Amino acid sequence: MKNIKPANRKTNQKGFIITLLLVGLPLFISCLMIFTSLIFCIRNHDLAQSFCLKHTLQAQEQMKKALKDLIRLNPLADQLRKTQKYLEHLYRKALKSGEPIAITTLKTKIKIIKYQRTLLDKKQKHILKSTIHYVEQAFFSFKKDIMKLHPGYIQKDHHHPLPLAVKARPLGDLAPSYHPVDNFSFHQSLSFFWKMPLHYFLPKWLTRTFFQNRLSAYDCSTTIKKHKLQWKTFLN
Amino acid sequence: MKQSGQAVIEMIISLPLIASCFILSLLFFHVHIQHLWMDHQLYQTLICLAKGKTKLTCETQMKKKIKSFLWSGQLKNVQFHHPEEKKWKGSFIWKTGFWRIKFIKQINLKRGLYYEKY
Repeated sequence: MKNIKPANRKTNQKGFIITLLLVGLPLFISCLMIFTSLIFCIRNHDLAQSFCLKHTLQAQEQMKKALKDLIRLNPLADQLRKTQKYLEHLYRKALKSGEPIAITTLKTKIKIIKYQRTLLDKKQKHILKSTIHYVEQAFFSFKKDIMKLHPGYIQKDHHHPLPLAVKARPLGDLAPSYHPVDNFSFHQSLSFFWKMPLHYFLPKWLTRTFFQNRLSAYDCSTTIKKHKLQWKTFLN
Repeated sequence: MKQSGQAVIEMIISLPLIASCFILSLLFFHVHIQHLWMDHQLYQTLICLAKGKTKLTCETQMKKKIKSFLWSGQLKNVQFHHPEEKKWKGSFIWKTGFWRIKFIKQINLKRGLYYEKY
């Protein structure tokens, strides 16, 4: 040690500090990166989850109302269908007997019933159409909220071709009565899926090791179920 | 000789300073993440309850997840309430050494407030 000149000793110490900084700084920065990413992920996950629940539940609440409205129209639809059938039966009878007054009266009555059924059909179709709007609106709002957080991959999923899982009976008839499909709560479930593209700003090994898919991706699903004779929204 | 002595003093001062800054900031982040993680888990448990799962299932799941992340301390006074339809409240105390942190959270699916602290 005594043979080392003071100037060399100073350079050695400086070198030691530089080496320490060179090793320590990346370590420190990577630790900070992991921590901030974790904080970012947990916060965004919770917020995305709350947005997801909020919008899917809101959509389901609106669809629950639409379902109730549709079901409420069923007795009228049944009654009008039966009345039309009966009037048509009377009309056929009147045609056979050849009574002109009865024929004209029945013809007019059938026309009125058909008009009423057309109106009812329009009302039913409007309710069904509005459910598409509810889902689209919910998805749009979810997308908007998520984009405020962080852009990512967003998707929606619905098990039934219609947002409201109902089937018409009789099928293809004017103003049919609408009933929930079998296994309604499954078909009625509405899911939103969101994935944060962590690989854009974090190395792949880090996302795989620390975050997996649980924190960077999220999906939520809600549905409508009949509970104690009442339609209610539920989380899946 | 004078210059080398100055360098040694610089090193003696700067090294612990850098190290303590490093350790303190890591500690701060670690505590912050622990806090956030427990908050997150309490929220997840309330969602779990809202899904209709039993208290026992959700609580066990929460404890398991918290303990997988935190190696010291213990959970105390874990309480969950369901005061109204679509409203769930939960709280617990995290005790580690001298530290006692209370976590309280509630979700209200009815009023459109889905994530709130109270």
